[in-house]
Amino acid sequence: MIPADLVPRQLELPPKGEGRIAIFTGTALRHDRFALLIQKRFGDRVVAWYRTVPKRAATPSKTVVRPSLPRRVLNVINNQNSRRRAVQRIRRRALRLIGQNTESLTTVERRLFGAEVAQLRKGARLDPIDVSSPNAEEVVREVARLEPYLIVTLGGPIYGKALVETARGLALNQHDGWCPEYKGVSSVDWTLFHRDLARIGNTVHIVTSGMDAGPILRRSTVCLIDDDTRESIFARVVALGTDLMCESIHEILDSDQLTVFDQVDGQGKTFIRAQWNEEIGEAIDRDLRSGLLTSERQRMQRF
Amino acid sequence: MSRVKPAWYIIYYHNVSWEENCYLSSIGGTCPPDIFREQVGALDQAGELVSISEGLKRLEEGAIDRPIFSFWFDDGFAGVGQYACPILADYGTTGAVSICSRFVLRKEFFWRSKLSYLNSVDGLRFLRSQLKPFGYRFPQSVREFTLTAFSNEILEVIDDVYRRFSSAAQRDDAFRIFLDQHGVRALKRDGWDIANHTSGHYPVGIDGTLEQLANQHEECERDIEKICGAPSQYWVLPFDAKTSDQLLTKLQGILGDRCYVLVRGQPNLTDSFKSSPSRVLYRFTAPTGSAQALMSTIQS
Repeated sequence: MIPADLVPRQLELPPKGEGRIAIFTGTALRHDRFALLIQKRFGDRVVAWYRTVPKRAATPSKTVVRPSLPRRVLNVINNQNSRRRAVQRIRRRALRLIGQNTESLTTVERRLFGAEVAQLRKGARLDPIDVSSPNAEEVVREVARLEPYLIVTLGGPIYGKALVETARGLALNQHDGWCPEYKGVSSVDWTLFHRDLARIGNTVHIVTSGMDAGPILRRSTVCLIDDDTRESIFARVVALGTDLMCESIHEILDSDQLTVFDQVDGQGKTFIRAQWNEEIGEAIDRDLRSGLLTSERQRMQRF
Repeated sequence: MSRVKPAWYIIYYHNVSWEENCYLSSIGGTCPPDIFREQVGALDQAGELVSISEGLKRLEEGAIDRPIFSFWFDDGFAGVGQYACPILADYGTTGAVSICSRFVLRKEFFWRSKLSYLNSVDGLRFLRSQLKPFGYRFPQSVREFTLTAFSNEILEVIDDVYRRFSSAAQRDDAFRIFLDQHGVRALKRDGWDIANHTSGHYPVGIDGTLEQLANQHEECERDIEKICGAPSQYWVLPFDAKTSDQLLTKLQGILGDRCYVLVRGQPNLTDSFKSSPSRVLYRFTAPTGSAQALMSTIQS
């Protein structure tokens, strides 16, 4: 859908040429689905798929010396991401003991997309190119040589100006949140935390220097079911966004002019990782376990 | 071992999509693709998946010795082409889609979806005041009132308020939730059955509005012939709850050999089909939950 609450303007598009598309993603199943679906819908136009992988995975060493147990524990305590993951694992085990639904995001993705991605892989033309940083000079040079008209992104790090400018047309991002109100990190969680259920959705926008702040092409809300969890809601939002991205790409390739909707400076909020903590996650889980989605659905349909 | 009795079960949905926007969120009826796939998989385990045409053939021949399942989708939503069709193709089957021709041809937007939109933008408070001359009294449900007191005048009021709260660009964009002509033809080419759900999905058919229902079906039939190059074999009653037994008798003259399709939550059995004066098919509403919920619905 178009974001009708924002002001539209017309954007002239540069000549298409071959309308080539370069894809940039992370490494989760939802990212694979994004890249494979775009390949399926746009065929030969897709000329490259780059995946950003953590440096450790991208450059494996020949001999691995495992640190001692105390050192491993210290590494977890000292590293914020490791700490967060460890807490999540302990929490899931505890909830399983009391019979609560505790699927990890990876498990949820496999359940929601696994069969679809398996089918998509059969028809895929391109294998992903794994890179430790999409902003590395050699990657930017390679992408520039491909002369993409569109760069489309889901996940991965912040994409730098040099990379974005290799696109002769536009660089688009799929943001898993409702812009401008929920920009930045963990947008779905923040929307749920604020019980702003009418804004659980996805936004496709042009990449600019501001995080998730570029002109919007498409935005819409997701279909939820009563016993959805934080993880399944997030996965559904991503799936919706991929559909919106495909719609946006179709519109760009079929037109000389594009209607975009500018986000106003100062509108909404950009959330950063440091603002999020486990207590927020637990508050959302409590809301969902107490039937928030059911009561909201019933309220909306009682008019 | 399956506990489902041998019969033809038609499972009926509306939309299958990851998206449920403001035009549908207050109406409901969207099934996410993962849930749909799970339900189709469960039915595939419980019996045989068949197309509508195949199911009807076996029903007429009395050749149903195991549970057979078919899929039906009302109102012609775009998600049917985008998601339901490929998922059913993975299982080697097709479905039927009931279209409202004015939605497909972009001539008129679904009036109920306009209400859903107005509910999301706080437009209902304005609509309520406009409905008072027609007998509406707050806190009566607008949803129920517009169903029971439906008229062309009320339709105009809804449209007026919808236009007041939306831009032309938005109204054009809204149609994307429905299949267009290309989408309908693509499903037809893939072997799907295209059914007639009247031109505008009005709640007509009883209390003297039978002629309006017949006109709506006939208009939709003409449009289906133009879009698909062939007439439909199935007519589907909008807002099935309002049906009456006299309805089918009165429609018989214009139905011809077609089947009339209702909901009612019961399976199709050869004996009842052949003993009925009209060719009527019944369907089960698919719950938007797990496959287990669907199997419980069918087995109950």
